[in-house]
Amino acid sequence: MARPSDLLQGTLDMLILKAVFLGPRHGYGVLLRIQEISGQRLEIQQGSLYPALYRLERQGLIESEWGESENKRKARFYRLTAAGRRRLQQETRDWNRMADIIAGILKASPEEA
Amino acid sequence: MTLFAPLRAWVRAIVHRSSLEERLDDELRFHIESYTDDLRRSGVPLDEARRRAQVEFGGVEGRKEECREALGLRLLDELAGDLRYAFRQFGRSPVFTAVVVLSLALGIGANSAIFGLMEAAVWKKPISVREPERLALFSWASGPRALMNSSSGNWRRSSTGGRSSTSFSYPVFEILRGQEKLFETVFAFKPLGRITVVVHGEAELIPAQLVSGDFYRGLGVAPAAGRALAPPDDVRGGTETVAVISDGYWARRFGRNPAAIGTRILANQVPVTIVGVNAAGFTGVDAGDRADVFMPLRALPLVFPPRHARPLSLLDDPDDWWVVVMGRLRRGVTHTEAQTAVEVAFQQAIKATLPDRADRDQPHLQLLAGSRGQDNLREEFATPLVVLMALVGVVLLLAGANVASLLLARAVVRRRELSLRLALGAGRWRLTRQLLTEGLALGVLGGALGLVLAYWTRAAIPGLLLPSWAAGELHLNPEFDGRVLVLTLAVTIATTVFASLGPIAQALRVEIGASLKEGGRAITAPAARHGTWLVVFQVCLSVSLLIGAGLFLRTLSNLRSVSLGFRPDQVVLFAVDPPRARYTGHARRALYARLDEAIRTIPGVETASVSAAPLVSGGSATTNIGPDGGPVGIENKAWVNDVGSGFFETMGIPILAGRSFDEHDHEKSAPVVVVNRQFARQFFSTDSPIGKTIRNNDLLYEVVGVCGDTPFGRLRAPVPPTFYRHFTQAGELGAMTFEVRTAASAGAIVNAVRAEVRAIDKDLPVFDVRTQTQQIDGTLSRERLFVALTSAFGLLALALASIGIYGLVAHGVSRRTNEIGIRLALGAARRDVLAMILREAASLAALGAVLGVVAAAALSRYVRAMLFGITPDDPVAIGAAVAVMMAVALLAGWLPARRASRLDPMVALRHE
Repeated sequence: MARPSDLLQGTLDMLILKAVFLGPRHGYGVLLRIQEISGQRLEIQQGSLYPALYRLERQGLIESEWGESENKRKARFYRLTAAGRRRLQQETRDWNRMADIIAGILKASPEEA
Repeated sequence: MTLFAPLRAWVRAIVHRSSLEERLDDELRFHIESYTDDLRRSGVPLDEARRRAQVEFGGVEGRKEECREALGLRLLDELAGDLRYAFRQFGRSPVFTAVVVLSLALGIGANSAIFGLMEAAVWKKPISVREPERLALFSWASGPRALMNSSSGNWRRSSTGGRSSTSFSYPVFEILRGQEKLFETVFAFKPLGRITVVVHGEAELIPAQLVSGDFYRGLGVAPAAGRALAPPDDVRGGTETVAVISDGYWARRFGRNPAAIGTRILANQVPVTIVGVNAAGFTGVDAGDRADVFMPLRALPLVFPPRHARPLSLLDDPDDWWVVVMGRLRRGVTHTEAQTAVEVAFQQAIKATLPDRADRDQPHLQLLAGSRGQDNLREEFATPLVVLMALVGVVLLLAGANVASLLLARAVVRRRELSLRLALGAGRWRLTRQLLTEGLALGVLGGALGLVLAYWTRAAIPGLLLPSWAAGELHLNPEFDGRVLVLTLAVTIATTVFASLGPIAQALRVEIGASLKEGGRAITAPAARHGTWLVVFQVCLSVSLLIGAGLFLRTLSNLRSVSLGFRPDQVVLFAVDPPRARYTGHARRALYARLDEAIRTIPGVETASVSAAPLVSGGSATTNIGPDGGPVGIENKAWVNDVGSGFFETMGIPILAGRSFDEHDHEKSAPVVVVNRQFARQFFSTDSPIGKTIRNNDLLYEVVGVCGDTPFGRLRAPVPPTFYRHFTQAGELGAMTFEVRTAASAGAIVNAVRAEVRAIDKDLPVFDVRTQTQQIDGTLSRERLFVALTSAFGLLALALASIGIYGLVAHGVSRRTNEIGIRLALGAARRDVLAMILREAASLAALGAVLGVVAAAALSRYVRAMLFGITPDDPVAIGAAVAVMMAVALLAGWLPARRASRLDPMVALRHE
């Protein structure tokens, strides 16, 4: 397993939105999915997950309800809202643009005077 | 939409708090269990899996807290926690908390009550009329020698001896009404006092007012039902008299039955038809008016038939000034413009109606702002209310000081706890918030209690300002509206924040290291200093209040010991006012004589009498007098009272020379008077007045007796020269008061009296029943109120100050236990230790007392007018106040001092 990179809070939010975008999941499931789609290269600190989920729910980007897990236990399932979908698209665009800009800066070679 | 989402979520989180907690619980547990399962599936044994899952997840409680914070609940939780903590603290020292909350409640509550009263009496929004700023009140001012021969109503004496009044003669009013260029309308009114009204056969007395036809139009008030009075109703010689009743009377008497309109009632025996009902809350122009029935001015000769001695009715007499005139200025006309122009018209009107009187002073017109009518309330109550507010403000300061000292003391005691918190990472703002919450909790408790107190007592204070049986006359209704609530809230918050500043500053200045160790003495010094100044402040306030209480007490006692010259005990008073339409002139006098006789026959009555003015009732009746042959100048003024034969005997006034009235004095016999000693001295110096004649206006009277001096209307005024006429020989009589000397109780006698009166005339109500002592006390109601308030507040202040001193000294002793132990061990006598501690308490109290005396001296000039027989720097009052304060202070300090002197040196030395 790769060393878990340091994640900014904003980034975690984006990842959660993406994970939930792929289908409604409970909290643990969101964690597993993020790790899964990152190819096990990303390990999220378990403790910071739920505060983020609650924050996103408070902002109206995801919504939740009680449901039944795979092993018939009561679990809270999270789903993306329309606002959440819009935010995800926007964040993706912003991230990609920022990555381009940074990559461009990093590619710059020392100029001849 | 997303803007509101967090707010909605927050509200939902609060409302469904328990289900939220459940969800958190369930969710986090599910997560850990799922992870445990996964670990087990990958081969980790159960116990190990469970342990790893929990460790990797981290502290569940901490996570929960983070979730709660993410939901925005932290502030609320912390506030709730602070409040719970605060109340636990309050529970631990209940007595002190109760004292502080109570004193806050008294201060805030009294403040609110007085504020409501000030609003009603002094600052009240002007009556609800159209554009009140355009209303003007006509008034005139002149030198001391009034131009007219008779005037009634509101008048004032200026400091230079001049007169001013709002009363005009009706002929002058009619001329002023023609000022159409300046005024839209000029209208007039006259409060009548109480008249007898018979509705459906039942008679009662209700306050009435006469108004001119333009009154309603001029004020711009519309009736709530029926119609208002209009100019056609005020035409002389009209057939039907109409009236408009007040909303209150409509509710009381007619139960708001619409059939009331059109009902015929009798007003002083005059048939009157009700045509309308005023809007609720409208009872006249003046702020204190409480008229229940309004009739046109032209009804005056019907309701009060012309006096026997005067040929002209009040509507025609230019020499009797009685009606109040107001006007509504035209738009664009300023007060000053109107004033100049109307003054010219006024002078012309005087010239047209009155003969030239060179020996009198010419009056000049003044236009006053009319939005509050004649503003009687402000006149009478402004100063006492301001003084009351000052008193109450002082109490509030005291309460604030107490809250401050309590919080300060607690902050000092908790310094170790506070520094621990700081060391553990609490922010200073967080600590401040907690201390502030505690202070505000106290404040809100006190403020809420105070508001309740104010609401309960809101009727009591105006009641205390007036004699009990006349409380209905003056309508002072302190409104408990939003302004009072807002003020209360503001005062509460301001007091508590202010009081919390000291402890908070104290807490934040705590040095962590030093105070964590035992005995951080360096910290307590500044706190002790603040505490000292607070106690000095409390003592200063207490002494000021006590001095005030002493001054008012002595004033009251001086007033009560004014020699009355008569015996007030066991005398019952009641009044009768026969309607003029039925009883006038001879018939009226005969009625009074019949009543006088009938009352005397009642078993249990020792003697009885009748008089125009009851003694010491606040009234005044003066007339011009002169020894026969001498000039009847206006300066020769005497007080007059028309009485029955048994008057002097009933009231216990001694006859010093000559005789009293007897059965020989009646309408047909020679007119005689009895004068009091002051009169004899003033008009006859050392000669005996018996047998001499005096002149009163056009009539001559022979003096047949001299009686003892008694105060006339007020105890404060010096005894005036008074002469007494027999009522059968007086002119037209007004309402009369009967005095009954009886050993029985007032209630028992009154029933018999009512029966006798009803037997003579069933429509004659008996009213204003009271005892002579109650009446005299009634004139002292304001003084009694102030004595009660200042004493109560003074005692409260004393209690608070003594608690403060006790606390301070006790704290000092515990702080210096070590030092005291050293002293005792080195051989100091216990008495010396006691003296040392007491000396410090005494010097504190002395300093505060000196400041208190200075403060009282500075403020007392405002109450000079309310004192009687003493000056504000009365040494007895000041000395007593200081003595009481010092005694209480020494007592308060003595207890902890005694404990200090009893310390076991060995224990004390080991104390930190």
